[in-house]
Amino acid sequence: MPKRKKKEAEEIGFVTTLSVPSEGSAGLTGSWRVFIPVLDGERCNKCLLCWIYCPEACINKDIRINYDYCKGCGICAEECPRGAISMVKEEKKQ
Amino acid sequence: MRLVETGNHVAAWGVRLARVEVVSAYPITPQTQVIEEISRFIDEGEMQCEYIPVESEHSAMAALIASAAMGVRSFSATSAHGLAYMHELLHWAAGIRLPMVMVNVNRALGPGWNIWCDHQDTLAARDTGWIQIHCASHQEILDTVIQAYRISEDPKVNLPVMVCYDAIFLSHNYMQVEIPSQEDVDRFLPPFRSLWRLDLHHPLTHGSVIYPDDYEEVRYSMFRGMENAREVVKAAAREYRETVGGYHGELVDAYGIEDAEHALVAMGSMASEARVAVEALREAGHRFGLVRVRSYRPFPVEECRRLLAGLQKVLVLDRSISFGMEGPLYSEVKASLYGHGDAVIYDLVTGLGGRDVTYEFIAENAVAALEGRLDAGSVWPSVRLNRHHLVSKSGVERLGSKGGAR
Repeated sequence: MPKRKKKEAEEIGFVTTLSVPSEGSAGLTGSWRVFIPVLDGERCNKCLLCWIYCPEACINKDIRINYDYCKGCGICAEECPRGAISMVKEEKKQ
Repeated sequence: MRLVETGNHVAAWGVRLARVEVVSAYPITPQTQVIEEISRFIDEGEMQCEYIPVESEHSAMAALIASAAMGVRSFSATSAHGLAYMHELLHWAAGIRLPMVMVNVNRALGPGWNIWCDHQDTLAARDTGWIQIHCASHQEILDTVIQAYRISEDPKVNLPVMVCYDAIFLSHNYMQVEIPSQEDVDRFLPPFRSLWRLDLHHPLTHGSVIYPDDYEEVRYSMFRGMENAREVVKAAAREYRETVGGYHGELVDAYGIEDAEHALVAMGSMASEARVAVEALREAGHRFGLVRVRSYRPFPVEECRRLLAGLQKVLVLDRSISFGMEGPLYSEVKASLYGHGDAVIYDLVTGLGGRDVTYEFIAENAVAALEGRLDAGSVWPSVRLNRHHLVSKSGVERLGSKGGAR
């Protein structure tokens, strides 16, 4: 019987499912957005509730929204006690 | 120190000597004594250990995964339905490569509530990525629990280890054991140095979403880790013998195999009985040896070839059944020997649900194999009807052809 050579997988070492927080490993998730949060700076009193509640950490302490990753969930607008954030239908850019 | 103790209490001693820091478990017969004894050790200040009481085995394994991910030496114990209930989490613990040790007391699965010995529970968990070591004596339970941490925490392995031993025969019977000194165990088993730990300042997570382009490599790495475990299991057994004392074989424990013409293959307490059968068979002029499979995963493929390939007849003893196929141990022994030698391989499926398997029974069937009176493939020679079966049969008959549901 002819001996078949066993094809070994490439030596890849120790590979696990461990991950560390890093920006954008799933791509620019902002492209999933239908409604975009728009901040009215006049009404905002910088209470930072939006910063606390944003599940994607897309609002920083200066109340700047990171539109690259904001999926438009609207939680910030829902939580804002002064109605300073409104959700606006976004025109899809190509 | 010498003690006369149950296998369960002996396992607890192994956990204590291994300086385990977190135990999370849910009681289930016949395992409960393990965690009772550990609780007592903690209560009396003999163990510096956090005991997490949980509401189920699923939660027990979830808590253990968390503590192992914190880089803490962790332990649990379960049995049968408990192992089945935590099945999904078994995959998680192995899949994210967490070192930990769990005792599983081999018990039959219901229905038909049965708290007695059977290997179906652990063999059904075969492909979870856990290393499985099956013990045949109380001393081996103690020594293996300690060795298991060395194996599991080896950076070349980084997989959880299940230490398996038979319900009642080993879990509840009393046997004499030598308890090694803490100093000797400490020399064998250094403190656990985890490859990672959960840390607020260096955040990381395990097991989040993984795409088709990434997944296969993770499984291949687990496969390699399990392959590496072969050498690590052997080295742990040898180093334990030198440092602490006590030796029960490596991937297999062979007996009388050097000049054997035929062999028995078994696991657990049934292998101890098979050893007596080997002696009886030899007295009757049949040169049998015994290969006790100690490590079921990784499976001792090379050892089976080396020890069995040149023999004439091999009789495997299976204490579980793969429905629609045959005894699982039989399948694995045959697979190992494929293309190696021309031994005729037989299989007894017996001892399920704690049915006693005597050395006379094993020897009788071995002689039947020699004389060509045993069919190849899995046979069930201890099956017979008793009066309890007749009760259930008569119940079915009373319903008659009309059926009871109408």
